[in-house]
Amino acid sequence: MGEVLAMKIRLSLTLASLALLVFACGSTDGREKFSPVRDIVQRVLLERQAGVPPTTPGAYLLMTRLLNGSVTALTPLDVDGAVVTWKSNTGGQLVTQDGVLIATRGLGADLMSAEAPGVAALLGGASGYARSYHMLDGNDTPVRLTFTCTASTGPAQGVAGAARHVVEKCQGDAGRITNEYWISSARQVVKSKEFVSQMAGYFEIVALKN
Amino acid sequence: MRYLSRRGLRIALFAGMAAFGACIPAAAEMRPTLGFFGGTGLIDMPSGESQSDGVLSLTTAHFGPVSRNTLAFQVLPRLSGSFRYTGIRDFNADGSTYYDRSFDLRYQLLLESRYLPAVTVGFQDIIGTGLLSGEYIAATKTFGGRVKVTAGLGWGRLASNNPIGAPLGVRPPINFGVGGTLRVGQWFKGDVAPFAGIEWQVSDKLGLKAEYSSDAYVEEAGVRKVFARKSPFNFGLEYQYNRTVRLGAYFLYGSELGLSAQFVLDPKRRASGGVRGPGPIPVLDRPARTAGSAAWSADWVTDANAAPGLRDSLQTRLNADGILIEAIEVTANRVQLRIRNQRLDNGPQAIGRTARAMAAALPASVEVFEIVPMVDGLAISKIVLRRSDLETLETAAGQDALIRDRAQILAVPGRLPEGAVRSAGFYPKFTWGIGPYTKQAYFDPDNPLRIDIGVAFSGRYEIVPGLILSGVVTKKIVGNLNKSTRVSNSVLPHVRSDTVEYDRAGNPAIDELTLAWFTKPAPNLYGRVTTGYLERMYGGISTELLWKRADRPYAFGIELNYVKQRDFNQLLGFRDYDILTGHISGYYNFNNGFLAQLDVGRYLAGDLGATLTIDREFANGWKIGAFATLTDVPFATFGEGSFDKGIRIEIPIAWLSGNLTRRNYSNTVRPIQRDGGQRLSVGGRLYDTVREYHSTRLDAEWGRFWR
Repeated sequence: MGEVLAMKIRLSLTLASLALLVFACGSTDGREKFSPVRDIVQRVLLERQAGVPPTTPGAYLLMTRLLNGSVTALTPLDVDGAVVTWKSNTGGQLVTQDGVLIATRGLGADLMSAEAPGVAALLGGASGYARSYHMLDGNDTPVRLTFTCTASTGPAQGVAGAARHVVEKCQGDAGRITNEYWISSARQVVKSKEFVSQMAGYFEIVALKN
Repeated sequence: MRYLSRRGLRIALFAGMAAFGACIPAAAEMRPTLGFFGGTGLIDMPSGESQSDGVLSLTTAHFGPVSRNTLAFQVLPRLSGSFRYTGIRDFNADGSTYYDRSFDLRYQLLLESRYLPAVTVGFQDIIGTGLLSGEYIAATKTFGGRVKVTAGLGWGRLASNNPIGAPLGVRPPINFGVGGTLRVGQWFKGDVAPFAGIEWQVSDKLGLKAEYSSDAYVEEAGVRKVFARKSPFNFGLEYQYNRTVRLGAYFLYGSELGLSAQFVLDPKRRASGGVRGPGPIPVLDRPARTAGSAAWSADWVTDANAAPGLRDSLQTRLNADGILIEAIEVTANRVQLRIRNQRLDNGPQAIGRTARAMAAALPASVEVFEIVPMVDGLAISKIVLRRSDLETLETAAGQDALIRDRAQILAVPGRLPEGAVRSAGFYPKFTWGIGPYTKQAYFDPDNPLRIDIGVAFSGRYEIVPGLILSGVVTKKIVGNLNKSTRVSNSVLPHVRSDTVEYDRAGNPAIDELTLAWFTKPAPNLYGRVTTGYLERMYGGISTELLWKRADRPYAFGIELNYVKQRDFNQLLGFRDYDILTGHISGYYNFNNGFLAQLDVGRYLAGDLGATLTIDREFANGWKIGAFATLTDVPFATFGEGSFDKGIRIEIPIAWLSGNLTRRNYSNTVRPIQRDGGQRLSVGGRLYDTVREYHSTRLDAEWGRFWR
């Protein structure tokens, strides 16, 4: 058996600087994790003024990755009409159009671009409209997911500053996704829970002001 | 895939989740597992399935005195190949371990459907010694997503237990000779015997296997009695540790315990989930153009300091991405930047980042951006973008294809355009590095893996664009390469087979010390002259010309070298062997990820012949390929292996770590290296130098333009 072991050690060296690398990364159970820190942080922050336009001084976003509960704050980097680019201090970016997420950058499993409805369509309960998500697969090859969506609106409850709650249900070849938006009476998205990409899952995004 | 609330998300993750690769637990679906021979299979028997396209797997399996280590690659969705290194202890007459290399091919004839099973035909050990030779047809059907049943027929070795007849005639005996030749005449001849098995995926983590083997181990158990084969039944239990690793324990042939580990790497699933690194600067829109608008004035171009000033401003923005500006040319409505990408592993991303910096820094009157990537002082191509397209498409859905339709990839002359300004202080440029290195030697029967670890010192001095003095010195710290007692028995000039002498004497060694000149005499013509100590075994002069258009998938090259063999100590001296060697080369990129290269010419031992290399290259930089060389050296003169052949693998470190770096892990493995069909190994060959920024490669990688 000593010889077997010796050979195994040698061969694992031979063939597998690669194979050893696979042990190097931590495992995750893939479930949404609930971070108590996040809940506390959010409760405190929600007391502050919510749902302000990005041009307001002190406006920022609080983004939670629902996959692992990690929380990131983002401030406006560029405002170009309805399109706002938000950046975190670690290089991550979110791009929103009319308050709806249309791209991410610097997050690894990025949403490269998206065809998305505006606030008016969401509040108007639009139905049967097309939505698309463009992302890259593990081979850096573009992948497009297309959906047909319907928005339904109702009164918002429990979210500071929000008047309406919109649930956007989308069905596509890849399956079903559900986005949610809490929108103020001034038609600003105060809070949302939005699909980002196959690998990144959903983000919860809250608009706040210092 | 479904994305339903929390549970749906989890399923989506499992099913879609490429990229977490190693970090995500086993999928609920029943994936094809690997057997002791390293191909898709049960325990010692194959199955009818395949791995997913592109998968590279490594299996190390051991039972009793038998150890097998197999590297397998799913070349195409239905075609796979594997290379195996087997050790059988106590096999030789003197009681020592017998080592054997073998190569298999298998092809999936039928994909599994509702009523039909997956069916695969396989050819085992087709060019080796033939110890493991056998053919099979195996069929596998999945039931209820948890159970797979396999049945098959084997020939050759796989018909040695309870054969049921020999429908296709007598199997001719193996005439091994020096190995390395196909034994087509044996295929499906002689006895045929059935085998079968069942696999049950009990839970996401746990799998059970049982099989009836048609392999009697005639030589191992019968003749040499290295183990007792008491039963044809094998049993196993496998544990899926994560997406990449599966471990197994077995009871084989009624007498032996076995262990295996399967490692499955899928190039299409990024280990890191996606390349990280900070997001880009947004494309800043220009102010609306109104009559007499000062922002749109072109007067700035008359300022003598415009070009250097804009260069500095652009460089500040590009520092974060590791992009250096070599030169700038400005006109009122067009700016050309010549850039060097030092960090991003993706060409289009480097071009996209440069374009964003240009949109942020250049006056409004500049509408046309020309970006010229430079490598080793060579201008490779010119990517032309319209600024208004960048402004319009920055947030458009499907923006990557839209900008590609509007971008042009053009040929570019080597010399700087008139009026261009070179970045002050860019040349001469000195860079250096100190880092660890390893050198390996495989398959010495006395010790199948020898390895040296040491420190490598490297320096690079770019005197003017295209003129580069560079060197590498290595100093071994620890290792056993020098312990080999194998002396070359080659009857050809010892152009490569004295490796052991080099390993023994070269410490410290000058691995490389060259002066190289790269030039571009015409927009589609590239040239290289390298002199000095070109590689560890040869010094001299190497010259090369390459014709390649930026927008075509093919290229032609010619290389001519006069070299002298270096002293074993790899310092400054030479031995008394010199040779004029060179090749004419043709290159083709098949646009589906496959690259072919054919080199015809005179090799180091003076032999005449050709090398064919086929690589499969993924957009993310993974590259797996094989090569073979046939020359006028007869197989018997060549010696063991008959001709030179091998496989090579290149894995981007960015794929493994997710961090932005252009470094690669690469390795070439030959079953045996002798003196026939050996090429000079000079650095900086032109084809790989220039093709990264030509259209075939840029198109494959284009998805990251906006990243």
